[in-house]
This record gives sequence, structure tokens and C-alpha cells, in this order.
Amino acid sequence: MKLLASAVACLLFAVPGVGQTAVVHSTLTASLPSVELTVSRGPRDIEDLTRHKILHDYAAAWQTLDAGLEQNRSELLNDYFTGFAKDEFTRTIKEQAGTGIHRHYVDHGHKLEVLFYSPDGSVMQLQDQAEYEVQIFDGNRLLHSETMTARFLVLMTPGADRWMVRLLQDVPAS
Amino acid sequence: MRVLGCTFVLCSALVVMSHAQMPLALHPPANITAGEAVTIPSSGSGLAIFYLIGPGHVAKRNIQAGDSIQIGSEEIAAAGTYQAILCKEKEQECLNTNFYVAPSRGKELVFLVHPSRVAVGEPNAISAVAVVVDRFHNLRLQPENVIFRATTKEAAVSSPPQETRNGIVWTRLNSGLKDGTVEISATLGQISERRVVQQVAAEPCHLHVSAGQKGSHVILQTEPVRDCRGNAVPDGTIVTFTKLDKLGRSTVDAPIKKGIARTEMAFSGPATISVASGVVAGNDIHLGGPR
Repeated sequence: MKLLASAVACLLFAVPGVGQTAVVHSTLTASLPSVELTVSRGPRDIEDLTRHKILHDYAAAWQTLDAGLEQNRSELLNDYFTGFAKDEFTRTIKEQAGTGIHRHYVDHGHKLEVLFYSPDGSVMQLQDQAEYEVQIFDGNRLLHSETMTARFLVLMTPGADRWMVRLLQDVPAS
Repeated sequence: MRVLGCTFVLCSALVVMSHAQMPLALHPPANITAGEAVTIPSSGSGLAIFYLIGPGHVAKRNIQAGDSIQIGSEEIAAAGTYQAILCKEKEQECLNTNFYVAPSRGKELVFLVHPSRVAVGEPNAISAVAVVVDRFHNLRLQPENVIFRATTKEAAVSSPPQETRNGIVWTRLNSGLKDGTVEISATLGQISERRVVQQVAAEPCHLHVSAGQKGSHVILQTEPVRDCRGNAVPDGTIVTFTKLDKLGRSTVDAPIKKGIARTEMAFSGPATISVASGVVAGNDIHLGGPR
């Protein structure tokens, strides 16, 4: 038993801690969508610098996604998207370009809540309550315009000098 | 006969008018799962263009309004909200319906373990995060039970099942007391993902250096460098030798090779030599005279 205890890495079944709640309003450049961030859960506390980077980089990610879907330029995704999210939106933009469709977004802002920040700081899960207007065009023909309130689950991972969106999945409102 | 003919013509006209004026509509199923083909019945008449705008797919095709529209499994692989739009050809009229595609039943694990190399005897040193996705990489939102397991050459230990929240479950592990590899795995049903973490010795313990004079040089050599649990400190770890004499202070950084750090320094009279590695200081040696 002693051998077992000394030889094996002992699992510590940690329970996600409940962290301090704080709301940060972005002080971003005017061209970026507005993003608010509420930090409510751990297990790792979010450092101030990380908090501000998340605010900036998530806003910039949406800005590039909006521009990519409007201009049908998938290369715009390279700066702030990676992994599954980049693959998915790249495919979508290419299909849009092939069919002559494009989307115009008017971004009314995002309310982010941190659901999970891994102990080693390698992944963060957020929930985004987003409000935006989307207009769908086929060429110059407006097919549909709608103001939407959507809830997204987001996975972000740190890159060399920024946080990248790895997964962006909209989920039912409840 | 004339009355009958008139009635027939009138009825036909009404039927044609009613078809022409029948509004466009789409009737997607209430529950749609990613990667499962569906049929969307439509109503209306005449030629129309159908658009499918989703998070991971965009399509456009000509259809006959009133027909059922087949959506292939690959077209709705991404979970999320889709917009189905039906437009009458050469008219401005379009109809939009939104529908939600839920993640599929298939499961996969994305398993993140950090760091890949860790010192022995460190509490909460290893972080393991499992993300449960379906086969199309959609986050699975329903709670799933994941079991973490740590295995070394000697033994293994498992956690009780831990439930995912929003597709994620995590744990932290202490590193073991003996150097070597530890395999960390996450298991979800029949699916298992493994990662290997290298456990290495902690800081050196009882760092001890001995000296031997050779002409105008002194040869300095440590005893085998081990941590306090007897694990050999990895080769390449830097040991710093410092000599303090009448000329001042001089320092040499020497990497551990085969468990031992060794170097030569010039000797020009009484000197005090000290040794350190990381935050650990070893013994001092006084050469060439009294203290």
C-alpha cells in the first residue's frame, strides 16, 4: 500500500472552485465590437493581463469573422481562429464564395462569462451572449435580415502572443 | 352543358390562382441531429431557390416550391442554428426559417495534459482536461462520465467517474515520488485517450563537491547529484562553481554528465570554492591556506 502511495501519482479529484466575480468592460478601439467579461468560475484565477487580452482578442476574432463572411476572405480568419473553428468557418466562407452569397453583420456586442479556465492556463471556456444583426445577400439581392440574440460556447487557447478561438458553437438559449 | 363548361373553367382558374398565391413555407423537423440527413417539406408553387446558411455549410439550389428538400448528412455536420431561406425565382419574396441542429450521439475525447515533464513530489503539478465532442467536433452539452487514470510501471490508480459540464471535465494530479514516465488517460465509455508525462528528479539535495589540485589548475567534481528522494538529477542540469580569491570572483557553469558535474579552474593562491545548482547550495571548499 505504501509502495502504491509512493510510486503512483495520486489523483486529486479537484472540484472546480468558485472564483471572485468581476465585470470588466472593454476599452477597445472603436472599430472592435464591444465585449464585457464576467469572471465567475475557476479553477484558475484570471490575471488582469489575461482578462484584457481575452476582451481584445475575442472582439478582434468577431471582427475578423464578420469581415471574412462579408468579403468571403477566409485568410482573415488566420489571426484569431485555429483548430475546429478555423476549419469550419474557412469551409463556410469558401462555400459562400462559390455560391455568390455573403453575410453582413452589425455587431451589437457580446457579454462573455468565463465558465472554465484550466489550472495550467492552456484552455478557457466562455459563454457569449451576443446580439447582432445579420443580413444575407445573394450577390446584391438581400435575402434575409434578422436581429439575433444568440448564446455561444467558446473555447479559446493561448497562442504565441494572443488568445485564439478554437471552437465557437451556438447553443440553445436555455 | 354550357353551365358545366363554365363551372369547369371557373374551378380551374380558381385552382390555378390558389396555387399561384399559395405562400412559400418551409417546415423543418423539430429535432435535427448533426450528421443525420433530413427532409424539409416546403409549400408554395413555382420555381424557387433554396438557401441553407449554417455555421459550417452554405448551399444554394433551385427547387420546385411545394417539393420536399433533401438535406444531406454532410450539410448539417456542424451543430448550431441554420437558416433555411426559400425565394421565388425572379421575385423579391423570400421566406426564412431557422432551425437548430444538435450535436450528434457519437463521442470523441480531446485530452489536454500539461506539462509533459514535471518534477517528482509536486502537489497539483499535472493538469488534465478532457473535452467531449461528437465525431464532427461539436461540443457535447449533455453530461458525460469521464474516468481519469494514472499508470506507472509499478501500479495504477483511477478516479471515480467525473461528470462533464458544458462538455468539459478536469482534474489535477500530484506527481509521483519516483522518476520515470506516468501515463495519464481519460476514458469515456469505450473511448480512451492517453498522454505520457515524464517525471524527473526535483532540486538536487546534499550537493557535494571535492577538489584536486593539478599544477596551476584545480579540478572540481561533484558527487553523483540526486534529489532528496534519491532520484538522479537529469544530465544537462547546470551546476555553478564559484571561486573567490585575491583576484576576485570567477564562475563556471557546468552541465551534469552521467550524473556528475565536473570542471577545472585556474589556481593562483588561497581560494574559497562554492557550488550551487538552482536554488540549492552545496559545500564550500577552502584551498591553499587557512580561512
